[in-house]
Amino acid sequence: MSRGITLYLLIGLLALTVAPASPGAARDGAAPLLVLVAASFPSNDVPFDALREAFKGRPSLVQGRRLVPLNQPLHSPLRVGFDRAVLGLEPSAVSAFWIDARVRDEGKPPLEVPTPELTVRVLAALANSIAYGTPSMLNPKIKALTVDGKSAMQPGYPVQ
Amino acid sequence: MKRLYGSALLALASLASSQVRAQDAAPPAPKETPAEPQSGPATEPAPTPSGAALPAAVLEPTPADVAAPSADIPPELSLQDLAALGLSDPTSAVDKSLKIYGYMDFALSAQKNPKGSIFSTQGGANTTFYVGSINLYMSKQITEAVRTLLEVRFTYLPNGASAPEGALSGAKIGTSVDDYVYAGGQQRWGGIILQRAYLDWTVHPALVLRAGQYLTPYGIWNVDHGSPTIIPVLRPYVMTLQLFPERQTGLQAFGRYALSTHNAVNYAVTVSNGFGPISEYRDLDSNKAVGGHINWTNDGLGEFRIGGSWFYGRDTSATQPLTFKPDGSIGSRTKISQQSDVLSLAADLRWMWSGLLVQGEVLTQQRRFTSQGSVGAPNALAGNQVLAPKDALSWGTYALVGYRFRWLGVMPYVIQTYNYRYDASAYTFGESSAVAGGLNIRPVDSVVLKLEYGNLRLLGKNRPTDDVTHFFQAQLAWAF
Repeated sequence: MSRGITLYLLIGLLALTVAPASPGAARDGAAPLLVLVAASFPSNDVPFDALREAFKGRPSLVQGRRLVPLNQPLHSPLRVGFDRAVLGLEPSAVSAFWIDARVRDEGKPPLEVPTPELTVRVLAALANSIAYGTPSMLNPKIKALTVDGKSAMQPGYPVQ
Repeated sequence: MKRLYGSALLALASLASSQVRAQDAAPPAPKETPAEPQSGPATEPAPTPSGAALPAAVLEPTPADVAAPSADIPPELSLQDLAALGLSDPTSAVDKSLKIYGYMDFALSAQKNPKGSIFSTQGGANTTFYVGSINLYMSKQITEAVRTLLEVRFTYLPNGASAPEGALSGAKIGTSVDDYVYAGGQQRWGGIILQRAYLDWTVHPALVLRAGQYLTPYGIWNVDHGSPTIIPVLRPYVMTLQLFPERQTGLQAFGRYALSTHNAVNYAVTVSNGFGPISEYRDLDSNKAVGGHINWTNDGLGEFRIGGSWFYGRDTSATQPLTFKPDGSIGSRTKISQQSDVLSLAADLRWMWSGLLVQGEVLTQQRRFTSQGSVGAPNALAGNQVLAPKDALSWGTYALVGYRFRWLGVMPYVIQTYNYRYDASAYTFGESSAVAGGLNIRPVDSVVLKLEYGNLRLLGKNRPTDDVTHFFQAQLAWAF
């Protein structure tokens, strides 16, 4: 009897170990996220590695400009999608990631901006800021960057 | 009945699993359907203001609450907006406020030793609670490229530490004093250990210059030393043997270079006072220590990292007493009590994939005493015979395997360690091996509960005892 129960317990334990979504997996039915900067930003493209490093709180340069990343609030749909696509982090792992990074002194979390509307105004006003969002956030002062040379609707666009 | 019970258990586990999946699944993102098409033929995507063109699919009809790109210019950022974001500089989104944070831990330690065992020294025979780490960080981004960090550990030491003459007698340092605030009542004072104090200048992601006192960038679990982040209760014993200096005062250059989207190289190079009894603020020889670390990381299949570290320097213990010169003037001379050249080499590996963690390090140290630095002294363990330190090779290693489940963030792990070390102050070699298994549980992001059970034994034909100690440790570690 004990052997059978042990087997069931093991199987039950394995059933709990759901592997997290692989990094870069598409959000089903969701539009790709745009990477947004001020219209005056000197580049129209950002390497995916530079984007990821910036949002991990580490130094990241694009055309000599140090990127200043802006995050959406922790559990917002945009933030969840971006963290999953770019940082490879599931929502349950994000806070622990930043706590560990601070203890290790390996990067500090980006500034959190409470709303997309305020994000747009910060992007337009403060140099070298970079954020993510939807097409509705675009305006004459904001532009979307390609990532690794790919625009949002091209196959292989990494931020989705 | 047995089958019914087993099926019920399996169903319960699957149900719990699906609930975990449901809780962690992101709420569906608002569907972005593009704007109404403009009048006239819409064969080309309209360019965004001053930026990359949006693809045609973006210009299809959209719900009113998810608007197309706006032609309106947003209002300017106000001072109130900046204040709400905690920003003080109206030209930059870099947060320059002073940050204060840290971590602490509290533990229970229990040992089971044979009666009168050597392992029962230092109070180890008694189950005990203790507060271990109380580490406070203060950091500030001074400019966009310049940053400072101070890390301080508050400790109960030196109270209870072995007195200089007490290795065999068991004598301890006591810090009880009369406290004038409590009408002469007794207080025991503790101390502060300065862990890190440095200034960073980021010239480029591939070049950051650091000046001050820093944790030696070797391996994995030296810089990554916080109790909430390391998996077992305590770091492996090999990390505490000072095969590399734990901290150095001097200069460091480090950085990261991306080879591709999934591959990068990280490096660090150090110049410092190296080893020494007061190396934090005085180099007792004219020899500066050099060192470095390099690793390759790949995130194609989880996160993989392999690296190597090195350090070379002179370790000098000396005093400079005043002396009378032949001409009657007063001068000084250097009196060396111990001096050796040290070469340390290490390798490390870590692989994290899904919930799996595989990690290991190997550290070595070759120590060669100089002719003037191999000074003999009476050794109580050898009947007060005068013994001189010997050139020696010390080394140690650990390997850890664990798996992080999603339920409460539980990670069962196993860790095996081995150490072979020459203690120059005791003129002895020590060899030991330990194995432990435990659970690292992270029910909330900033709190970790660790439960660990293992055993430790001394090895080698000259080992002082055949006793094996069994230990149980529990620790709560939290970041704030």
